[in-house]
Amino acid sequence: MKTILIVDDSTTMRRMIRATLQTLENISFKEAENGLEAIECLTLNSIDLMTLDLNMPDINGLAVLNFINSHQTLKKIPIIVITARSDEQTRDKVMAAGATQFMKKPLEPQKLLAHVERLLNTLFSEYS
Amino acid sequence: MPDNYDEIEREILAELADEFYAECDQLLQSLQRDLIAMEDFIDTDRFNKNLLDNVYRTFHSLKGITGTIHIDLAVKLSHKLENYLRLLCEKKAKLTNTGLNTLMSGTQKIEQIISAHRNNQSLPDITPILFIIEKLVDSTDTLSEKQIPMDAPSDSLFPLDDDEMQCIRNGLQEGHQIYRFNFKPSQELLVNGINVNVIRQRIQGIGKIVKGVPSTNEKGDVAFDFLVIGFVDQQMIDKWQNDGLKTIPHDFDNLLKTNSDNITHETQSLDLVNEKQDHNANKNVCFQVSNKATSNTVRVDLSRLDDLMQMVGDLVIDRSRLEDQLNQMKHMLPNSNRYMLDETIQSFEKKIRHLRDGIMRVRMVQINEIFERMRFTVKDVTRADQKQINLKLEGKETEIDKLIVERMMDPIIHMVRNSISHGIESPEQRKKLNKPREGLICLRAMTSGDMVVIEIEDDGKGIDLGAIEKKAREKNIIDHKTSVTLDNVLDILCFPGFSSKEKADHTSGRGVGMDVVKNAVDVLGGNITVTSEPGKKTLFRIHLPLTLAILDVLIVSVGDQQFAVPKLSIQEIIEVDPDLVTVSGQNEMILYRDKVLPIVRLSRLFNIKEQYRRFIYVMIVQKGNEFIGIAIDRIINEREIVVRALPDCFINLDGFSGATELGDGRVVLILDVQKLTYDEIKQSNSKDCVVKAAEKFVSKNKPESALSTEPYILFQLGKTTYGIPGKLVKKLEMIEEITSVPNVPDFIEGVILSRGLIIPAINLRLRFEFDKIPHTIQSRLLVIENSKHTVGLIVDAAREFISISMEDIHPPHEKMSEINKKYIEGVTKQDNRIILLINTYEILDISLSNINFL
Repeated sequence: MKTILIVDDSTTMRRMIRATLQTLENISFKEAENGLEAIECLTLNSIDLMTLDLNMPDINGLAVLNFINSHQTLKKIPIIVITARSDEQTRDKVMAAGATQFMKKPLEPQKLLAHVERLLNTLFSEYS
Repeated sequence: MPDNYDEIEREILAELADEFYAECDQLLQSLQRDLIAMEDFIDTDRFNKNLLDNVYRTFHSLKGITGTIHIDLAVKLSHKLENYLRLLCEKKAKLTNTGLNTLMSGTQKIEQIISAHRNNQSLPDITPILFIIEKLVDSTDTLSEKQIPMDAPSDSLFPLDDDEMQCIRNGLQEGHQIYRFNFKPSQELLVNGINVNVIRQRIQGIGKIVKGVPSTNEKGDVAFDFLVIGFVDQQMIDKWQNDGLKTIPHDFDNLLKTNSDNITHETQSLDLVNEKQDHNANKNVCFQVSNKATSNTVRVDLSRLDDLMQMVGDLVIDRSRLEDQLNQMKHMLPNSNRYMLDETIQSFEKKIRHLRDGIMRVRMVQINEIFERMRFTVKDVTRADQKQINLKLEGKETEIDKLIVERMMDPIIHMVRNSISHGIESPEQRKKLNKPREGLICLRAMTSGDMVVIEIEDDGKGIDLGAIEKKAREKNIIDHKTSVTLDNVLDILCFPGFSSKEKADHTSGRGVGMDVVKNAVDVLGGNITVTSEPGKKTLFRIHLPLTLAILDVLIVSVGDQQFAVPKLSIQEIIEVDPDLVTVSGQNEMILYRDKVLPIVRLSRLFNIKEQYRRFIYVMIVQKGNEFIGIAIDRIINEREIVVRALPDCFINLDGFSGATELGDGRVVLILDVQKLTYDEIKQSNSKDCVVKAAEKFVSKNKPESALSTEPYILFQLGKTTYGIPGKLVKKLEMIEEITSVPNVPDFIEGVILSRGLIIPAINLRLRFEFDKIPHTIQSRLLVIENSKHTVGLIVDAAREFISISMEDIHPPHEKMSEINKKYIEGVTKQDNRIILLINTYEILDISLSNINFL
């Protein structure tokens, strides 16, 4: 059983991502609607993958990435950034801050599924 | 990867559609509020970074959501508006009037686009506004289409930037204190329901969060630091320690000193400005952590609440019947039992009232939803008209039914527009008349008994009766003999077709005339009046009943027919000696309290044969600004009834606002006392017509089983939808504490307390031999009951109540697995999905038998 954390301030976006990924087997979900909640969730649960929106109130996604990247254990978690920001500068900053994959909005469900499957299987194979 | 992914995507989108639109609405509302607050920054160098960031982010979010539902036009427009905002954020441009207007028009356009998309209408044209935005953006700087590169705020609490320091200063000036809080999350706290969101809300309850950052130590422990400006007493602080929330001492004096050097002169000018600032803008000077409600609320579909109201309505009817029947049997009982029976009946009635009130309260929202929107409307209209308006809102916390908000939003917008366009004079004219340059528009809301009263008042030039008379005669609405007075002016204004042109660039393209306003009010069962002083003011007053569906009425009889009259409509009831009635031509009247009171006889109105009575009863009702008396034969009793709308074909039947069922199959029409004068009731309202209406109504509303549809509740297990008869489901709850029971099969998760009973909680997934999954936010417990057992079923989600007709149900497919066939009694198809109908007998019985408890 793998746990995926979905982080986005939009309820609908979270539901959409969740509905997309629910087709995968053996997955349970956690949701967070802001950066602080996301970080709390990461520390108190065993999260296998996180999808992260950048455009959130208070601390934005980039800050969350930076924080996670500076944390010994948390930085190992694969993170897929899903954002409406399409400029190169943001992308570079995000990847430099430790994101595993960068995806653009509007959401392309097939691509998201593909990335998630790939990343979760990689995780699995690390331990086998 | 499933092959039919496109289909799945479409399914997902369809299911989430309502949520999308609801979220769009929220974002648009927040935008409108913020844009109004931005007014204070026009043409200044002052800069509210947080407000701008918020607006930028909201456009960004809108872009994201509309992109997901594929409303490309909205995406494009949001994107362009973002460009302009970026300039403002980067301080490459100052906010101008044109700029703000463009942002506001842009927001409205987006609203229209989303609405058109939702209703499958043609999308509005955005070329003109795109053009305006281009000019704005070009005129200030040449840019490529880049977005603001994202910046991460500092990862520690200090140092603070200018805006944050300013926020602290403002707070200190107002007498608040600075606190530094630290929250360390843990599993124990989480189990008790304490997480960082709860902590944040708590802090927000006592002040404003200036800054909030995560922190970590060498061991990898995570905590959160908050800098807060507000006030909380020591007792509370001590209590909070138990929840992992500590205060950390900090040298704040030092902090203030180091940053104070550059800011003194700015503080001065800000002081002056602070006084003038709009309330909203004040809130935004500080870093306002988003106030999205998290776990304390549930978003409920209005239709679900309608269903609940319907159920309560049925309960009211049945209770009434029960009371009637019991009252008839009472005399057969000994006194002591009679007394107890009365008590029980009373208690029952009280509880149902409480239930009804409770459900109604769930539907209540503050009228502020409409009022705040008016600010936007005022800005919108005054932009073009060049008039100056001061909008005063009173009673915006007044709570009204959500349905009223939805129905009255447009009509009230229309009336406010009218006030500005036709009522308030231009500033120059006002100056000449010695009025303040700013026109005053006052919106008031208050509750009065079971009614809510909404007033729209302006201090403009009042209603020009002469002009209206002229126009009405031109349009043949009235003849030359009739003159327009305050009493009938509303009827004339609301006559369809009275107001001709709608200025195309002002309205939101939804032609609303006063007749639509009146219709909306009528449908809600209310009424509207107007008073006016020429040259001074105009006041519209709208009365709306709070209880939309359940009404207290008097049942009265006229001849052999009975009618229901809403109690609230009746001022008084007097007994009158028929000899004292003065007849003058066609009219009758009596002297009442030194005034002449015209009498309308219902028997005459409805062509019902009158019965001779020694005395007649006259109900005194208020019609417009006058009183009239309605003569009836007898008053039967007082009842609570459920209002049901009359079928469409009777919409033109004057004098009735609806009908109701007395529970014993009898249908009674509800009188609309406002419309009961001889002039208004057309001759076709003969007794036959009334009887026919009643008959048609009854046949249309026969109990459900006669029409052979049954209500079902749908739930999900994995990807499959199941249905269970609504009658069997006693309760639908979220999953709470399940006490596990040892030595039972795994599909019995344990026992649970529901409505005072301890019942088994069956995990249906396991019962059907699916994989077990952990409970989610959507998991639900369906409490089902037959005469023998009550059982709780745990399902993945349960959201819908639908009606399925017996004809649509087919027997289960041959190829279904054995287990499935046992529990599935039928299959039906609705909206392209297959619903498996549960054999509840099997579910209830099999669940509990054949279990070997060790």
